[in-house]
Amino acid sequence: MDPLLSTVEYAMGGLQLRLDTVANNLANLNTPGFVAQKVDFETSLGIALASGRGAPGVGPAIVNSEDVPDDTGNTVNIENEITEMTKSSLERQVMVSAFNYKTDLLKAAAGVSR
Amino acid sequence: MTVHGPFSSIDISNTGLGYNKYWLDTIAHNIANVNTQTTPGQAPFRARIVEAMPLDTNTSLGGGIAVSDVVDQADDPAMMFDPGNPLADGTGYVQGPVVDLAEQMGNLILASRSYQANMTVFKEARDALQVTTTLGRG
Repeated sequence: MDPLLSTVEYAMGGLQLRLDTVANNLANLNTPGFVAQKVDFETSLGIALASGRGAPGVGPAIVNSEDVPDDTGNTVNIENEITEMTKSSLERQVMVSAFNYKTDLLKAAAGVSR
Repeated sequence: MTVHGPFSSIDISNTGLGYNKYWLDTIAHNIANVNTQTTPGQAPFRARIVEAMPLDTNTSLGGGIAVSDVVDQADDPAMMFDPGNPLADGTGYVQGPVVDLAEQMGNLILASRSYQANMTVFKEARDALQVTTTLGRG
């Protein structure tokens, strides 16, 4: 696959997983002892891009949050989750733009008009 | 946490939201205990004071704010003569809480407005970035 498209595909998968994780964290806002989770796809993507490949062979990493727990051991923080959600949403829009840009180029090269 | 990149404003206002929510929670605790009496000689209720710590002050941008410490208000508790009170000591005195309601109400307004101000920054930054994502769209 085209390197840019496979990179965008990987990033959008990571962003989708991050939004799902935010939803799960917020659903467990009041669950005693629940440890919030975070998604890191940037590290593996960065390594793959530096080595010249378009997308990594491994999936995004899910790591436990290191935020300060409350009295029940719960580490979900509403502000952090809303922030992650907003950032992921914005990043996804940029990914869609990049995807559309590249597919437009490929279509033009193939002589197909939208 | 070091903030950088296009989401700096969002990350920084996030730290402000977290700090001011913590401050609001502490004020709620202090106001809830505005009538908490104790027997003289025991530890009185002491209002909790949240201390702030700016983050990443060695960088040009800065990284927002965090709670550095929570300390007890050090003033002496008021003594009230109330011999009928079950908490009274042998001389008939009870010990009041170390919390100034007027001060707490002032802090409540400050914390609430600060939270709203950080939320405004968050929304403005989000809307600005939203426009940025439409760059180059025909």
